[in-house]
Amino acid sequence: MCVIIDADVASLVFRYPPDLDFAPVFNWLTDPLRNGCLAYGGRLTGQLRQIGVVRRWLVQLDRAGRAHKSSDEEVTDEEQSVTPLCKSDDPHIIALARISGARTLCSRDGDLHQDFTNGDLVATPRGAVYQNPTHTHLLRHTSSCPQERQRRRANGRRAGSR
Amino acid sequence: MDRIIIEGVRCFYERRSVLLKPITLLTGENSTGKTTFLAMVRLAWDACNGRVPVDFNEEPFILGPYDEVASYRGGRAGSARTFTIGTEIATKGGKPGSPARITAVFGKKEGQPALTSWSLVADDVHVKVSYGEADATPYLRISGSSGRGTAMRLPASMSERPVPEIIGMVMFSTVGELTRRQGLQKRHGHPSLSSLRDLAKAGREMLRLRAGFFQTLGSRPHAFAPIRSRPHRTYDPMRGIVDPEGSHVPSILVGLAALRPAAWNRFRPSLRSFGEASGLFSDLKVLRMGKKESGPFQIQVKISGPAFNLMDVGYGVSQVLPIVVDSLRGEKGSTFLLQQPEVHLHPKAQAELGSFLAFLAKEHRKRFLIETHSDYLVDRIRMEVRGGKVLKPEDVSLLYFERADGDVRIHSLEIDRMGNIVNAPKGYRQFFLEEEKRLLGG
Repeated sequence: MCVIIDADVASLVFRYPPDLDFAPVFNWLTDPLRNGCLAYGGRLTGQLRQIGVVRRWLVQLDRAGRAHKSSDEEVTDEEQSVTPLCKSDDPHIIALARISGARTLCSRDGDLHQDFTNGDLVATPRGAVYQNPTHTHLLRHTSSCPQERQRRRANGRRAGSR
Repeated sequence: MDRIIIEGVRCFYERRSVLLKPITLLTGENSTGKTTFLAMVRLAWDACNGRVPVDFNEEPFILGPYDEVASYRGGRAGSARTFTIGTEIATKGGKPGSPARITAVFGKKEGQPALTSWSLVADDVHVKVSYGEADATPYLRISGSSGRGTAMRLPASMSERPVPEIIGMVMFSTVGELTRRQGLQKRHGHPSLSSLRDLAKAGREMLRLRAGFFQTLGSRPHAFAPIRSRPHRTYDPMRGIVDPEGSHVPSILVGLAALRPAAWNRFRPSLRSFGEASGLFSDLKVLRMGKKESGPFQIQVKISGPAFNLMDVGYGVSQVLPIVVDSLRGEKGSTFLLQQPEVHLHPKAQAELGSFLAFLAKEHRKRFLIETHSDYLVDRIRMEVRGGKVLKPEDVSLLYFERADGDVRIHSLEIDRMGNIVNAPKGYRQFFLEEEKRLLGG
């Protein structure tokens, strides 16, 4: 699944060297042998852009096809509809997960953790929160994210052409 | 041309079949075959037209003799014995989803590439023209949907004729022959009439295809050189023979400005619009040095304040001018092959050139194949997709040329409606990610 990096930990992921807790996330996004992908869009874009080092990495990952932007309008519309259901003050993150298909969140915000893992808010599959290297298994793609859909489509085409 | 087919050419050992879009961006490291690919696009067009002989050494693509063009595997395998260049085109009036495919196979003759066979597969017709090794006598084989076919050796004098012309001539004479034999059969019966009928049916289909084919094919791709001609302080009016370095462009400008003011007034706003957006110039003027039409002239560039001679402003202006002028003037549906159009341009101008080409692709239905190392140009094209107003995802293809095991792979990267690259291969732009780490202290 694509990963969403909350603004509160973004500088820990993208500083060099990265924070030990988030080094696996950074490696997953930049390792040539892996296919990590960052999801961003809506209000989170502005928050990430304000952090200089994150802005630089956002551009590089975007050019490398390892950061996918979701439509700001769609995320904002979705944010309005999920705000009443959220406990945290980050409904834009929940909205981004629902629009982008990303199901892993890097964050240290307890209220947001509850919202993100709430099956009524983020489902099929349910969201999961990465906090430290014991959660490295969460850094993968699932059926909800565009990377995986693309891969399956490509495999389907290859099978069809055989 | 919707698709290019290459096999056995330089670093493309295996068959490659690559889809072309209104904007096709070619990226990758040096010496990964991007320029060769551009050359193949023009040669594929030549092959479609059945040009004989095909010129492998026409500026700006000087490919050399056969051994330099054919793939070389080294060791006992040596150079490929033949190589193939082809294209697919959805023809007007053809079956939907069933494009016509033309392939030309070249062998070695006196050290140079020489056409050994030319084939067209379209709908239910298969036409193949083979050339004898010794005297290049054409040998034509045509088969229809039933698989039955007819073959005939043609006069050696036809070997210098363009292939479609050969087919046309044979078709007309075949239909005439059929008419004659039908008359004969009525009186005596004729054993080969059914195959001849099949041939004539295929022939009529061919003629229909040929008409649609050339309507779809459009004009020959215009190729720009990687470095355009250097500016001069004063120009003499010359006949505007188009050349890849763009040395004809000053003559075109004076021709428009001095002799066709109405056309110049239509053309100039587009030129100014690009110049202002890119920060390169706010206006261009042509200053004639006398009253005679044949008199010398100067190109003057206004940035802000007074105008300066083209030679006295940044080199980027004279480098991009041929691309802008020829792209604007090209007829609708034209194809342009660009090598590093960003050279000498500031990133702002590189990005704006992306928007300019996107606009022409959308509004003028022009097609651009752009070999580039400019992130700014590629980013801007992606942003034109993200905006959704200018380009759609299906209008853009990002081809990534990657060296792999001595061969070159061409990855066709897709762009979604948000301008995201959705199927980047592992390792794509790895250098940039590593460099960023180094820069930040890694």
